[in-house]
Amino acid sequence: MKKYIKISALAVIAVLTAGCNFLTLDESEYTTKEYQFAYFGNVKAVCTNVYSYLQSGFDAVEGTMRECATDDAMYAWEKGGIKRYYDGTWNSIEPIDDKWGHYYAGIAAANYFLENCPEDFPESQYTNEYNNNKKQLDLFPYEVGFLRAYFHFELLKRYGNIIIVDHSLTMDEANAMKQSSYDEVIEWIVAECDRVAEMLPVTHANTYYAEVGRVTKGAALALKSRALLYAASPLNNPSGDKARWEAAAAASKELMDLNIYQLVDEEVSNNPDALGLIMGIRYSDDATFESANYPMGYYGGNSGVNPSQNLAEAFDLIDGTQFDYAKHQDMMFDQSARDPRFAKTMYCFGAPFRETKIYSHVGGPNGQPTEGATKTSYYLRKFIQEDTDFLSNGSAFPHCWPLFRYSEIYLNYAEALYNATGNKDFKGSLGGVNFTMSPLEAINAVRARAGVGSIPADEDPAGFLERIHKERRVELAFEDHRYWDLRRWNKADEAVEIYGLQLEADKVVEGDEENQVVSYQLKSAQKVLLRTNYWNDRMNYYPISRKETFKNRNLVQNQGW
Amino acid sequence: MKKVLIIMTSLFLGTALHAQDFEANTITGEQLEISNTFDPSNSLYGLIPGLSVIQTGSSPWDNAASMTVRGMGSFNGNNILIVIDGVPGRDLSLLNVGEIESIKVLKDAASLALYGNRGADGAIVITTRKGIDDGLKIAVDYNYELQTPFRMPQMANNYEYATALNEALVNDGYAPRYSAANISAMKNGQMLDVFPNVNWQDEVLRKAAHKHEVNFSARGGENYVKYYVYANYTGYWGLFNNTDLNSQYSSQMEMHNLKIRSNIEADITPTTLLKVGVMGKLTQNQTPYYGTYLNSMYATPALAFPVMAGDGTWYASSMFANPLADAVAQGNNINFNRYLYADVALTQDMSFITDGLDLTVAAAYDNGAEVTDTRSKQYFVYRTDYQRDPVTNEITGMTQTPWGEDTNLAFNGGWLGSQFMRFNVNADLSYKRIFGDHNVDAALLYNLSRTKTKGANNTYLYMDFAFRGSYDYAGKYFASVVANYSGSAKLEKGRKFRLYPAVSLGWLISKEDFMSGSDVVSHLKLRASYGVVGYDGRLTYDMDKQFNQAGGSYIFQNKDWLGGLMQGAIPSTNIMPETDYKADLGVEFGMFDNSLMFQLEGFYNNRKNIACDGSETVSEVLGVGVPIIFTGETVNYGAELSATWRKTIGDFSYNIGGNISYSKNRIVEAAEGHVPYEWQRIAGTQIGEMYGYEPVGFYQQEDFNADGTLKEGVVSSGLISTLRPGDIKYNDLNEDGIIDENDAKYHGVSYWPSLYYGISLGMEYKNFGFQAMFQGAGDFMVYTNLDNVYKPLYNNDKNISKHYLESYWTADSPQGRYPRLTTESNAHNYANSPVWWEKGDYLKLRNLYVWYDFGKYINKIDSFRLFFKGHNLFSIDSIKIMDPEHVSLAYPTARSFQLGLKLTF
Repeated sequence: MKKYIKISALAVIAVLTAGCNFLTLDESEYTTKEYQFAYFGNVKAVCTNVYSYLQSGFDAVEGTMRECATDDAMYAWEKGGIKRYYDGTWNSIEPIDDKWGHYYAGIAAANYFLENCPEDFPESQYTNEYNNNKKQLDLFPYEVGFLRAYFHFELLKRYGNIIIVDHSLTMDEANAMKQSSYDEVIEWIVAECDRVAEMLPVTHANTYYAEVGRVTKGAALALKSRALLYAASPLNNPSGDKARWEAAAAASKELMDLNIYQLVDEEVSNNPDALGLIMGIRYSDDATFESANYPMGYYGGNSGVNPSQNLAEAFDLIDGTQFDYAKHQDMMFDQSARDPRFAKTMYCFGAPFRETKIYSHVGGPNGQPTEGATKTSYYLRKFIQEDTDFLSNGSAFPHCWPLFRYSEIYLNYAEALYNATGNKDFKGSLGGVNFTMSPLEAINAVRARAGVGSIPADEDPAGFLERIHKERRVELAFEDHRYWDLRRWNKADEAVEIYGLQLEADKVVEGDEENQVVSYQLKSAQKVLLRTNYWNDRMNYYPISRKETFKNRNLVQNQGW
Repeated sequence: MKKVLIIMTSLFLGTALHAQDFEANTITGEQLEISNTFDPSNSLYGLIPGLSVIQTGSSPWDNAASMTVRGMGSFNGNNILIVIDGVPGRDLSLLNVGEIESIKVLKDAASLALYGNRGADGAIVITTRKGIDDGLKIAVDYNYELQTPFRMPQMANNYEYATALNEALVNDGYAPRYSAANISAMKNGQMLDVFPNVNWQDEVLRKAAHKHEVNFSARGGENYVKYYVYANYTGYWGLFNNTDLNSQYSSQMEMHNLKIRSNIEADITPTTLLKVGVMGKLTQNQTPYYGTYLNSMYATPALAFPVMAGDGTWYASSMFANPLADAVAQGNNINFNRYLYADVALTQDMSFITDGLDLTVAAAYDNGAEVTDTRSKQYFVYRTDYQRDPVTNEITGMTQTPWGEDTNLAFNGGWLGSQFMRFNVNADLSYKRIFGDHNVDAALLYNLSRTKTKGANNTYLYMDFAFRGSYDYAGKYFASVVANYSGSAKLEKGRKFRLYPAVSLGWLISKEDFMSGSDVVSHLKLRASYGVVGYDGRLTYDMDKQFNQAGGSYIFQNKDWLGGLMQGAIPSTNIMPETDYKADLGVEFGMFDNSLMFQLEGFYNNRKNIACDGSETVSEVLGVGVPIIFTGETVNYGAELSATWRKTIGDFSYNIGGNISYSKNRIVEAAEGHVPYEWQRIAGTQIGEMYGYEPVGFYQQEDFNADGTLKEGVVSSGLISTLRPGDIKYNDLNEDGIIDENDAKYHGVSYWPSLYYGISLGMEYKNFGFQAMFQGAGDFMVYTNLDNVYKPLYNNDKNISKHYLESYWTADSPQGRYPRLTTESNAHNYANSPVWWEKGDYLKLRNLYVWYDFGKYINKIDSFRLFFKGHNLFSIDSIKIMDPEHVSLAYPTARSFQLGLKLTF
């Protein structure tokens, strides 16, 4: 009997001991923090993750471009959530494009990197790549520093009053943070840009890894230029402090003086090698954008972004004369008679598209009343990779989203210097900076790049500010500027009426019965008001999600929301 | 060996504990045969008090019902533990009704505590059939089953659709699409090539599906061996029509299922019993590549286009797909599934140590895999559009544009859909002895279980050490205790085990002397139990670790994505399985020699440590994931009543029985953040409670000024920019003059029924008999927010049902069930509200079984039955146009008629 008890006792102990091991399972794929910062490759990956929070405007809001919420375009599918921007139903309960969480996650990823990144991996110094890796490693903190500042700016332009997060937070801290004023945030961003610009190279092209997509000195100065321009703009500078415009102009000049980039006649859309590209987000082969925005009626097309007549009229004639619908109606769709950027930005009626042409008249293959067909008569051209094919095996091509282009810096410069001086021909010293290029020269440099005639020197200066705004609109069309520009100019309320053209055309059949060629001859065009957007001044800034204000009682909601 | 057998059937986790239980919670294989459904869960409707069974699917083979034991205790889900032949975690769907000996539902802590970390949501314990002591019994049966769609919503015809669309367009301020002449052409059946009237349901589906089933079983035994062998073939040919248009494949729903079971018991020594059980199942299911969600069949209007052109090319349009082409012209999927369950158990009589001591060791190994082989293709269409008169804009004809291309059939070569391996060990050292009036029954139980499915962190490891002891005095006073030291791999290191104790007491009053004289009361028993049971199945692994992982990627040059690494969510601390504190009180009552039997049970469960998302209370400015916290709490209480009456008078016998279950739960804590208005607070609501606005009629013409703006003082909407007459008016709960999220509230009723009942009636006279099973559910809502049927026309790519047309707001008749017609996605009207849900209560005739037995006329035959079985023959409910349990555009649920023969000898 005792023997059995002993045996059973031993058996129980054996099973119990085995039990503890049996219940230990490790199938996890997680890495410890130490591991993440233990090797160069891992540190680089943690840094890469911070970059991944950068966002393009290809599908910025609810699957389409933010321009559809401006006077530059309409979204073909009225059902789209983007309409909440302009139909008056936007509120803090259900915000749209609520990037609060996204960019704070990016900022947290940046702080995580900055607080843990080692300065060196001395144990790796005898490996082949050590020197090359060390060079990259030395720059990572400055790249990430830029990204963190950029994420703050993305938040600032949306929410106006944001929290600066320059270190990792605890949960309690996160729930008690206080907002900084707009100017404090700008000051912090500019200081960060200055700090990192000093250490960053002008290019990564000639390095071992040749990772040209990394943050450069140019990117940091470009962000500074943009941030100071926003801070000087009427929305954020209600007193009209001229010194702010001077600072913005000087920041743009600082970058121009580096002479790294060039304004040349080159492809600006999807061109990562453009000489005027300061920083862009590269994408591999992908046809999502084409699927969303190819003309309705073409196989695989879903119409998507339909540029407006408002934008179409903003493109000058090729000689530089401003387009006037009343006068120049016959040149409306004459691509060769218009600013070359017109054809590069939008497909109009009769524009060549792949093996066919766009026929967007009522009843036409690409026109109403086909569901989803453009109501404006235009389709988006910019950023479209026209070789994309949706039939059989299909084909897709890479895209590149420009975050900063050199043109923008010229436009920033022109706008800032003109506002600072009120003189389109101003040259000279201001606030200790010697401005050697006049606002007019800066604008004309951009126009020259695009191949459109200069603004005549003798043109009535009264309309010059309008010219600057218009130049920005057409040069930076569909690069996610218009929405923000209208707001900072306090002009969003003037841009609520969206026009299109209603076209009629006759069918023309040529060739014999075997090889019929069908085309359409434009018969008439009628300009129609398609939509009037709802506007309220509170919409200059986004509402902060109500949920966030519940969690952090120190958060102050933006005015009017 | 009889004693051993009792223990065998109660192997592990004691059915023995409840040997004194009344039978209401257990059903036998014979009771299941009345319905004989392909998935056994569909045979359980209304049979067991406390077990709610709802038919949520419609697939002919993948159709496990949703089941809850005593309603719901957790807002994170509900997962009943299935135990088959002592192995926890097995799949009831893999069994056939024919091989089931008994099904028992465990509801209270006294029976569930033995399942430790797995038991809190209740358990169903299934035993498969065994051999018999002596002789050989063979049963063979064949059933033919005809299945028709239970209900399908009727869609508008061409004329109705065109009229409705015109009305919707005008309502939205657009021009109508069809002219009066066009409409009258449709009405008169003219211009059918331009204005076709296609009944897509008739094109896509045929009238009935067919099922053939053959069962064979042999039960026998002699001397030292007993055996049970079972085999089944089931074949199903589905509802799709025109399935063989392409010679390369069939797009029919089709199933072939083969099942074999063998349970053998052998006395290998005079004190040793060996049991070996093997179950094998092979199935092959075929579905159209398009799937079984028949959206386009409902969405494409009768008017859209004809089925195909004269040259055999499919028609389609930019807005509507061709439903028939979708179903038949895109290839198919075939699933090949194999499963094996293998059991071996050895029971040793240990009376050489002390009388009444037995040791059983059992091991089980299960394995299964589901592989999908896909062949797919694209098809070429003519896209149609209208040709219009340039002057009058009237539709005069149709244009067709070539679109897309016919591709070759592409074979994917098969991919592994799912797989599992399960290993289970039970050891049971039991001691059972009678000392005069003292009955002792105790056991030490051990269970080890390992289940692995595809992918990382899908391995489930459990280990339980349990003691159960029960004692009764003279069969009158019962007491038992259970203590389970239950371990799970998901819990934190060092805290992997939890103790789950339970106690129960019983008093069989009818055995007392003072009751023994009663002619009326034949059985009266009181019982009560209280204990704790856990559930960890909804936890994930490594919650205590910061799950740093792959982050976002980025391209720095060319097209080369570089991978990133990111910081994971902040880890949880103090990880807890859900812990249910269960109290149960029951009365059993039998009268007239148990011809009439009652059972009444009440329960009160308090579930704690339910995992909650902590992010409701932490600002996103934190920038990293927030830990899961374990503060959720609910209470769930209710009662079950069951009664049966059986009577035999000569050749005639009849029975009537029923049970009714009621359960109500309340969320006590759900880690909500700040709640601006009380009516939005989750705490205090039921699990799954309906949430939305409160409709109070419609906006009418008189609410608007002449320019279409709302009159002063009329409540406006923050959900849509422009309201129009015929839009739904909601109650402005916070009285701020505008309808927004603040005005949405909980509506006091859940999507899960709190009331569930079954009624069975049966009679037998000589060779004839019938049995009917009615089942109903009450006090719940069903979402009726289906596109096309309930939400028509919007975005211009939807159809409209005849049901909607029966009752909606129009200018001429400004009332109705539904709002005005619109072609826009109306965020105001289509917001959640009682307009988009309906009372779900129903009463169904689940099963009807009628038979005639020729057996008595034939020598050496026990029975030879010709029978009819019907399922879901009718339903009384508020939904009316669809199956109240299946409001969906998926493959329709079935009403079925079975005809069969069963020979037993």
